[in-house]
Amino acid sequence: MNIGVDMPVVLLALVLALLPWWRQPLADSEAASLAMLPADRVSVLLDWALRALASLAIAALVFALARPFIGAQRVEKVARGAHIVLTLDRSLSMDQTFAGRNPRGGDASKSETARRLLSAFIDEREHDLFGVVAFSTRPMAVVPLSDDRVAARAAVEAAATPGLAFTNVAEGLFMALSYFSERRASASRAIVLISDGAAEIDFRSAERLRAQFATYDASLYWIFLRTAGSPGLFDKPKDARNDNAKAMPERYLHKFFQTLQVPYTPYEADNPAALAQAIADIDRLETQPLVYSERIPRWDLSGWAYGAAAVLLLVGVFAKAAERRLAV
Amino acid sequence: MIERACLADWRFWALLCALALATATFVVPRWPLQQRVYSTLFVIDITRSMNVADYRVAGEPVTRLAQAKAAVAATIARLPCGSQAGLALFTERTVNITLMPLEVCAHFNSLQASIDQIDWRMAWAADSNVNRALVDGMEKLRALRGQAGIDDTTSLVMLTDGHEAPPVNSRYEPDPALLVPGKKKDEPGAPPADSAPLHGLIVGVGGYTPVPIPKYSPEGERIGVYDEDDVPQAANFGQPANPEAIEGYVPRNAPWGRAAKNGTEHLSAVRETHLQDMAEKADFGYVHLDADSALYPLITPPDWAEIQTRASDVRWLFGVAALVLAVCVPLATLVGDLRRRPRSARFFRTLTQTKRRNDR
Repeated sequence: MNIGVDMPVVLLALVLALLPWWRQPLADSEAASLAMLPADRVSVLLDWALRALASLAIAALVFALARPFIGAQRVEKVARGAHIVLTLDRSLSMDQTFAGRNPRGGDASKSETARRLLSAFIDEREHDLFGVVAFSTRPMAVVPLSDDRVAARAAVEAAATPGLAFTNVAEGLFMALSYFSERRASASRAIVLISDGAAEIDFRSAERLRAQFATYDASLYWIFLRTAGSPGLFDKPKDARNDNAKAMPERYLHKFFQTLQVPYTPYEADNPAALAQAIADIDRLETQPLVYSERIPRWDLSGWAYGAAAVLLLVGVFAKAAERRLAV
Repeated sequence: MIERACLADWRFWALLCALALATATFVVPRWPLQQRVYSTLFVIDITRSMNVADYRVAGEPVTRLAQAKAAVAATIARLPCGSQAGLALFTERTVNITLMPLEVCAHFNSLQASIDQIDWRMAWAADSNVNRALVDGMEKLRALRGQAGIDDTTSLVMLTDGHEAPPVNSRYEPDPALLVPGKKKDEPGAPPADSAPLHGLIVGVGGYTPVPIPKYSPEGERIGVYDEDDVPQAANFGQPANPEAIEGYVPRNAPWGRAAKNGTEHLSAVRETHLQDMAEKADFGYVHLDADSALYPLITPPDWAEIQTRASDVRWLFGVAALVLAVCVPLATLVGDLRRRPRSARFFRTLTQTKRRNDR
């Protein structure tokens, strides 16, 4: 627990708290001299108490004005949830509809559909940490894994703006995996890859991906936004000569993902409803118990300081009201 | 005789008022106050020329990209709460929004972390056409108004060194002025003259002395600098605007001349005149990013602001008033004492009086 103040300069005014120690601001008495009165222990104590009271009241007000707070803390909590890295395809084809044409009128593009459903997904999963990676030809780390789900949503919203270039799945996955390097292994980790196409993964990248998926023990969900008429994940080519990674990159990427030593679930979503189903499934599966730390925002203490000042002033007002003029 | 003196004593009333004020902090802790907030989309150039380390911070060379990132991070940190900031990257000819505008206080960490992660290796293509990117950014911001944190007041702040690679043929360049309401009324596609203006600032990044651009391998190791032969030295796209000026011009076979092109395109300095020209067309401001320049005052003029009524903490007003009253009471005693006479004299007088009385 760390206590701090927003405006330390104000604390200089604590000097004012010394003022009451000068002399008691009591009503003038008609007694000619204090020396005439016998020394009284109760009076001395009362004198000190009233001075301390006034001094503390001033100090409390100054402290309140300096805006004290207890610093942000992290509290460990257990919940059911996961560390999820959304890996979004930003290639040009994502701007098209599931029918493979440019959206017209009420049509929703693939990126727009993905945006809507992912936003809802993020909103529902309260205890997950989300990170966002966007990739096209190169990967872009957008938002690191954090509990700031509004930021993750803003990144997903941004991914619905017009796309960039090609699809480089391997680089996107490397970037997504790198998100797990600084995080403790207690949570279940998942990479949700959302793309509408694939590209060949070269041998070296494939080996590195295999090793890294095993190291981080991250499960993989591939939501493949299939455009009507394009080859799917499970299609076998009619002509055996087309059965290669160049002609059917999706099928080969799917086959490669199956050889990973981690749970892998493909979803072929060729319409918005199927995409919603895929997201609902992930929602159900990734509910392992998770120890996570929640950040409690810093806690403003000025209310307590004002309260203390009010109580002290109240006593002061009573003391003043109880004051009696002594006539000899 | 005992009498109730307190009602006649101003100090009683002062304390009572201070008490009332301290209590008031609980009754009205917040009061809706009008406040200026801003919405800004920061576009950071991540093309290769931004890797030139021609800034110096504490004696250490710093790349243009690092300097631009630091400037954006510092500016966002200064924006008043309730303001929004978004991030976008520029390379090729596109402004790619990576993060829609977010409230700057609640999402401070995410914004700073996102800026931190920006890297030149995120570039999805290697070209650099600053003018087209500006037009693209302006078009996108206008198109996205009303969506996901972007509104009429969202301004565009573009940090770039203005280095066009390959050199552009100005004949085919889009004119940013076309996107300014009322500037080119008769052109097709111009926004209506009464639509909200798009405010913006172009920030020129980089030194004035042309220096070589570092070259990196795909693994990120530095492997020297770009040479004169590594980059196109002159535009060779389309038809030249002014063929007579080109030496060895042959309309079909050599529209850009026969001579080998020499030049300094492999060296990079901030192209200030180009950026100023663009800024003028787009009705944007221009500023050069110095090692210690602050962008904040430039992107927060009053007419870029949105007036928002936010419940603001007003307890300090009551607090100050209560403190003044609470301090007045002992202060008056002190001042009174000092004014009357030095303490020692009074003490002496008391002593003599007591003595006289005792003698009697």
